[in-house]
This record gives sequence, C-alpha cells and structure tokens, in this order.
Amino acid sequence: MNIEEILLDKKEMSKIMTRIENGDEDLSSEILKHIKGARIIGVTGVPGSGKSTLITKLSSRLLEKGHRIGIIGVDPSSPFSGGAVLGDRVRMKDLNRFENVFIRSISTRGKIGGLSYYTADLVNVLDAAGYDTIFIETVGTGQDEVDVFNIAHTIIVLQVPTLGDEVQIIKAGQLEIGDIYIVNKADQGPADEKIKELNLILKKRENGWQPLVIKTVAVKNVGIEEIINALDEHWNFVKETGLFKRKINSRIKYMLKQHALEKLDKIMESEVVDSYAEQIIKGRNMHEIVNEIINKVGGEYGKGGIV
Amino acid sequence: MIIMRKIRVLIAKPGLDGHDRGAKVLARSLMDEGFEVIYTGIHQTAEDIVRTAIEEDVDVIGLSVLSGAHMYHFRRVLELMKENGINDVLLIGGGIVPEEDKENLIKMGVDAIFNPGTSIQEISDFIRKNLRRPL
Repeated sequence: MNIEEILLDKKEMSKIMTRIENGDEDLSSEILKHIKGARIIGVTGVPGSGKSTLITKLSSRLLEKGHRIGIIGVDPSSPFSGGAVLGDRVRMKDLNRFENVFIRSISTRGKIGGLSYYTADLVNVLDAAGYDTIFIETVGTGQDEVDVFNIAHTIIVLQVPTLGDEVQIIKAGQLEIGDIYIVNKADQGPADEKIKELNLILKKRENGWQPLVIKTVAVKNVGIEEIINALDEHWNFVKETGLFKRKINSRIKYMLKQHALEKLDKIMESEVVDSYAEQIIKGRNMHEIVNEIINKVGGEYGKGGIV
Repeated sequence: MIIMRKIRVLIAKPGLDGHDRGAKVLARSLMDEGFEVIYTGIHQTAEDIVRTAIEEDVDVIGLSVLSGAHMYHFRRVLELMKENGINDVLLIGGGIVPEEDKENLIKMGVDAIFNPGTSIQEISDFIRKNLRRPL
C-alpha cells in the first residue's frame, strides 16, 4: 500500500505522526515526497491571548467553505520532567464533530523557538494527507519565538490590549514576522490605542506586504470575517509574488537544520557532556572540544551511538 | 538510532460532570512524572474522547467521572474503542466509583480504576508496567 492510501486512515496517519515525532527520518523523507502544497498559517502570541479560540473560529468558517483543516498545537514541555500538559484541545472542542479536521497536540520537547524539532515534519504529514489549510499554534510566546516564520506562509500575531507600553511595540522579534496582527479581547482594554501604535510601526515588509491590523473579540465571533478576508488577501499575495515557492525552500532548510540540531541537542543532553565539562575545568581548549563533538556526530555518536 | 518515545496519556471528563479539579491535578502530576498529557476539558462525549485518542495516538485513556454515570461512559468508550479497532490502548479511570461497580468495570474491560486517595506514584507505575505498546 502506498503512503497516500495509508494517510487516508486517521489512525494510521496518527501513528505515522508519532513515528516522525520520535525521529524516524526515513519516514519524514518519504512523506516529504507527497506534500501537495497546503496553505500553512502560523498563529502566535502570548499565553492566554486567544490563539486556540481564534483557530477554532477561523476553522469553523473555513470548513463551511469546504476546506480540510489540519491543526498542530504546541505546548511547552517541562524542563525538569520532560513531560507536558497539552491543553489546546480544550478550546477546540467544537471542531471534534467535523470529519474534515485533524488536530494533533505536541510538546516542544525541550526546544526553544516556539515549536518542536519535528513540527515541520508533522505539518508535512497533514499536507500529504490532503489537509489544504494547516494551522500551527505555537507555544504561548513572548518576544523572540519566531521559528514558525520558516514554515508558515502567513503569520498571525495575537496581541491583547492591556500589556506593555509603546516601547514594546518597537522591539525586534514577533513584531517583525507578522502578516496579520490581531488585537484580541478588544472588549477588555484600550484596544484602539494598541491598534494605533501597531499601525504606526508596521511598515511595508521587504517582500511588499503591508501588515494588517484587525480588532477582534474571538469568543464572540467579532472580527472573524475580517480575518478570513485578510487571509485570502495574503494567500493571493503569497501565490502571486513567488513567496509560495520560496517558503517550500525555507521549510526544507528549516527542517534540515532542526534535524541536525536535534541530534546535537541529544548529544549535549547526554552524559558525555560531563566529561567534557571536566576537561574544560582542567584547562582544555573549548574550541578544540566543540570541533571534536561536531566531528563525532557523524562518527561514534551517530550510527547507533547517542543519536 | 535510539528512539526516545514519550508515553502519551489522554485525560478526559465525559458527560455533564463539571468537577475537573481532580482531573487537572492528575494531568499536572503525570506531567511531573514525564508523561505527555493531553487534557481535553469537561463535557466530552465518548465519540470526542475516542476521536481524540486516535488523533493524538495516546497510550492511555484516563476518564474522570464523579457524576455516578461511570458504567455508561466506560461502556460507551469501550464500545467505540472496539469499533475503531483500538486494542493497544489502556483504559483507566478515577472518580467516585463504588467497589462493586469497579469490579464490573474491570470485567467489562477497563484496565484499572483509581479511587480518591490513590497516590500519583501508583497510577504512573501502573501505566508504565501495563503499556500495550513497546517503549
């Protein structure tokens, strides 16, 4: 049976996702051959800003339009136990009754940047399975978690009215990656001021896109239609300007980097680090050690070693 | 290549029971034990629960029932698990379940029922020892 047939069965697809999440790179490569070019929308913002709720509302609307929706919800892993509480589905309950939705919750598994090492690979599974619109909900982010920019065609950044003064608005990071900025929970604070500040700072991007700012109260469905329109507008922009092709390229480069980093991360989390630390204390050169580690990735640490 | 697998546990509250403090405490505590816990919140139907279990590819389904409707909810979830060919997932539960019902649930195919006072250690040990899938 070929992989596309297997992916028609949600249970089988889910098991494929598990294998990929656990580092089955052969399977990842195989899946990549079958991607169809889904629209990928990244949703990011501080914890509690309404990401899950917004995705649910947008998905309900997109389902009516005949789309098949895939959702990857990322939540943080514990730095102590490695475990996680994955709670994005709590707000997505209304989507459970639709056959054309697939939701998967994942933990960052220790990675910083807002996603897990294999998020892009999991997006590929949904894409290959024919989900034409895929939402990536990042972990609740602060300022610097911009990984999703490498994968998604469109980035929605959620803001809430009450946090921070205007200096927050001029900082680097999340305020540079958004295509659509949402001031959610607009009924709970000075939303118009926030919108004014955002509009002042959000100049046209290098690729020619002028970021949009939209005021919403997602739980009450206020502003959802405007976002749907903004998403369509940006999707047209993506296709017309060649951004679509460039994003496939950046997604693959990002994947490659994550796969490599994951291996390095595993090595640096293993007991070999203790002996290196010991050597540094005894005066061995740091540069030399780093080179040694990198050389060993393909050698004794790889091929059945640590990674 | 060593593949590090995380044990994934679904914690759900079926039916109209809104008392979710225990479920949340358990979700958090299982996280501290290193599990990845998918928490669905309250008011789940059996269909919601089994569907979530499939999409999340969990090793364990844990139901919290304090409403007294445990016989119905567990039976329905077991039925749907069978219908969907799920035979490698543990079904466990907790809440207010009288002893005689507990025995009947185990006979029905539930793997374990943990009543109030159970330690987290006992629950996580049970999960680790009884997993139906290789680690």
